[in-house]
Amino acid sequence: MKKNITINLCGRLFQIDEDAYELLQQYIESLRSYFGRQEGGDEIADDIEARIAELFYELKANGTEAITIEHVKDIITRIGKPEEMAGVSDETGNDSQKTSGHRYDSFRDAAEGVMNNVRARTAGKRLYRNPNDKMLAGVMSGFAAYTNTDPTWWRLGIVLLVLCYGVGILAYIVLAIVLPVAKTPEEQLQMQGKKVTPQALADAVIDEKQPVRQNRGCLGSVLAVIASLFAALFVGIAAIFGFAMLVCLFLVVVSVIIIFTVPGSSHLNMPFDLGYLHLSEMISVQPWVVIVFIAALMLVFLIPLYAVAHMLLSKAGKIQPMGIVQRIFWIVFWVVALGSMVPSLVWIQQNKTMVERVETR
Amino acid sequence: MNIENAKSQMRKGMLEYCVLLLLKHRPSYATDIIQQLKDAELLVVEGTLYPLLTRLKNDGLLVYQWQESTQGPPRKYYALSPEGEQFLEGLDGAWTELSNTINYLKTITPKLLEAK
Repeated sequence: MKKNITINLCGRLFQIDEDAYELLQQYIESLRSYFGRQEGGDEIADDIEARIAELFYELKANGTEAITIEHVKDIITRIGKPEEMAGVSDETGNDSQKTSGHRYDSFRDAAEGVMNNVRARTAGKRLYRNPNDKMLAGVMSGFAAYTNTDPTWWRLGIVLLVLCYGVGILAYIVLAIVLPVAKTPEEQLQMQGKKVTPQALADAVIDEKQPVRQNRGCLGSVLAVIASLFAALFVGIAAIFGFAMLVCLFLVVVSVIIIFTVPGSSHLNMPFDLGYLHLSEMISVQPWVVIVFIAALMLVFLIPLYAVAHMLLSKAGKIQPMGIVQRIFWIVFWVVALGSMVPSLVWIQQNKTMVERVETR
Repeated sequence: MNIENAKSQMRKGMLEYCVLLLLKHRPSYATDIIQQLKDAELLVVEGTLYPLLTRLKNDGLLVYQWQESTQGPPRKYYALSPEGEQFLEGLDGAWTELSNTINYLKTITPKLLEAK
């Protein structure tokens, strides 16, 4: 589901998705800033805007209700980036400059490259997981983008860390949960430490269409095999863990039902023997504590079960993976459940002697 | 220098002449011109045409008129101005010369050179 806006382009109304609108706006801005420098630049941009309106109109006539980001991307590739459509006169001017100052240009290019490299290593970058070049969750590739280095070394490093009593596995899982994925073109630019300008955005969007190179070399393919083994192992462990949670939850529910329906059931002969807590007697003394205890105990098992099920389903591509807010919410919720389960259990343990005494008397 | 680059340089040089030729007999709007240039594989990205049209107009070679359209926004119909027609004649002459030269260069054989 996407938010939809109506825009007025050259006196015609169009329904357009919000993300598509943003991309279109960036594209038109980049055109305006590019052509603004030359004579009649505004007119050129206006004409191109009219052309976009015409292409939108065609889409509408062909039964497209709302313009999506894909439509806008197609139109951008069709009309071209500003520097691709540079005027003929510009070209000849550049050529003569190039022949006269060739040595100087190549020196300047090299210097610019070095400067960009330095800037990219230090300036306003953000650490993301890199979705374009990933083996598991793209954590190491994100580190590589952050430091502007080859991801292979990072991957080798984490494999070595895994050999240190599996520290690497834990570190990787924590990072994979904590770090967000660089989804939007803006975030991908920030990941690489490039400036977020309309021009850079338009470039990033168009480059997205081109496939990512997959040749990783010999060491890279060994790492890829290790990574896929870990991925399989991780899914297997998660599935077993989820199943264990399901069994625990089932046992808790069964024992709670037995405790409250069968009178005097203090020993259930079950792995989850809640009978010794005398819950059915305690509920008449302190109902809230018992209710909180039972609810929290169920949640302690239910939340990981839900999380694992969600993860497996999203891995299979059935549903969208959780967003960062959702993840944090469930982690906090689980901690709260655990935090209310433990004290209530301790309280019941301490006070059950009260009802036991009543029983023996 | 690769062949694609050389080809695209050639096409770029021709583009202006081609646009003027297309407008010689009837006024057209940008999309018409784009379509015909694309059919002739003279255009890679559509956007190339717009700076060119504006430049030709600012140089006084083209004039335009707005026309309402039933399919989409109003259109700018471009036509040659009297100066544009003169300019085109000049280009025609240059083209004939150029194509003669090229044809001549292509038919040159070693024998012909020896004869000179």
